[in-house]
Amino acid sequence: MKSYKTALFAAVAALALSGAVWAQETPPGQIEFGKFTPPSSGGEFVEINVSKALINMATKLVEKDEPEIAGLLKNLISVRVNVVGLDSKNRSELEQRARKVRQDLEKKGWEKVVSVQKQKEDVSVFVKTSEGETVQGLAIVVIEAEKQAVFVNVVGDIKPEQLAVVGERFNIDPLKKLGAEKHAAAEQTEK
Amino acid sequence: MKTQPGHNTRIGGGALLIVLSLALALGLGLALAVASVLQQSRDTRALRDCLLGKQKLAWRDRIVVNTGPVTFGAVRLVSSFIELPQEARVGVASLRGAEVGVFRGGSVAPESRPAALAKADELMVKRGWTRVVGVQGRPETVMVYVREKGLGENNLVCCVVVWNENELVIVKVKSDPEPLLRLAAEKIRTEHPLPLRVARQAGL
Repeated sequence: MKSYKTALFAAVAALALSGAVWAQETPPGQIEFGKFTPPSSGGEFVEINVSKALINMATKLVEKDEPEIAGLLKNLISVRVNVVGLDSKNRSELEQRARKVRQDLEKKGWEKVVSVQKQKEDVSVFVKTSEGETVQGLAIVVIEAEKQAVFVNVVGDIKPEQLAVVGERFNIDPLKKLGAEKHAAAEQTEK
Repeated sequence: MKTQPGHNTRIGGGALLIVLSLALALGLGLALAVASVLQQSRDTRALRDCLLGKQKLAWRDRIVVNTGPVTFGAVRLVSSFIELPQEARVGVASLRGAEVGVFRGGSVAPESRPAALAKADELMVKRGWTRVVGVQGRPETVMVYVREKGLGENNLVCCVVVWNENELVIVKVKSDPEPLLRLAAEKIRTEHPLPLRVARQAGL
């Protein structure tokens, strides 16, 4: 009986410890979207997962020629993109998941910076900032009713002006705007 | 001075032995080199076996080409004498080794593929690879793995899998990505110059 109690205590302690370690290691901007499975109808299914090791390599490569991009990459931790084609079987599950992700982000204090709800399109962009200075996480959730669901999570510690630089360099309008807005907000906070 | 006939025969026999050994070693080396060109590396072989599972014997038609740094060094040398577009030259300069395996003849139903791919992911992670891109669709599935061990600015090893219903292609490329990325950066700089306002904000 005693050994049973000891084993139980050890298991609980190990679980608690692993939870604490996980909480310590998970960056604040990281979201768990859950596991996705390809649509059974054979529709689109794309997963992109860029880890820190790969980002570090890219940083070293562009350091000399593109210091502004290297500056942004240095502060990136990971990039994850999931695109799942919608069909009659997975549509309601994915719509529900998108709603849950949005609710969770709002509860956790993420700021909703873009919200577009048209007849066939539902787009939300959330940002997690550290005291309004740096962007710790960026989350994009898109549901295109007839087509696909998109989940994006960029994790890092990014300065708003760096976002603008990348937006300009790669001609990404939302990043250009977001960078400029966040930069203006940060300047106002300083004043 | 007289030479002893027995002594001469011994010298002649020794030289012949050396020549024969050298010829044998050279032949063996050549045979090994040819065999290695037609063999997949361990990781890609394990990946193929994992994807095809018990059906691997049904996939009879196979083409495997595996070339290393010596071949690509020769290609670089030859290409320096030929007029090539900048992109092609940079591509050749980046490559350090390549392996291509094409397997045909069998068939795996699209419904069975996700399970095989999940297993392949597990196997590759155990072997020190990470999946960067995965596109699953019909009729084609594409996966890109990058080897994390030894990953550096001058060493990128990636493995691309393209899987059709009755064709599996596995390509492994070892490269020095620096020249390619330098070219890409140059193109981005000229095509999208940074506005002065943004450059100032970023302190550039």
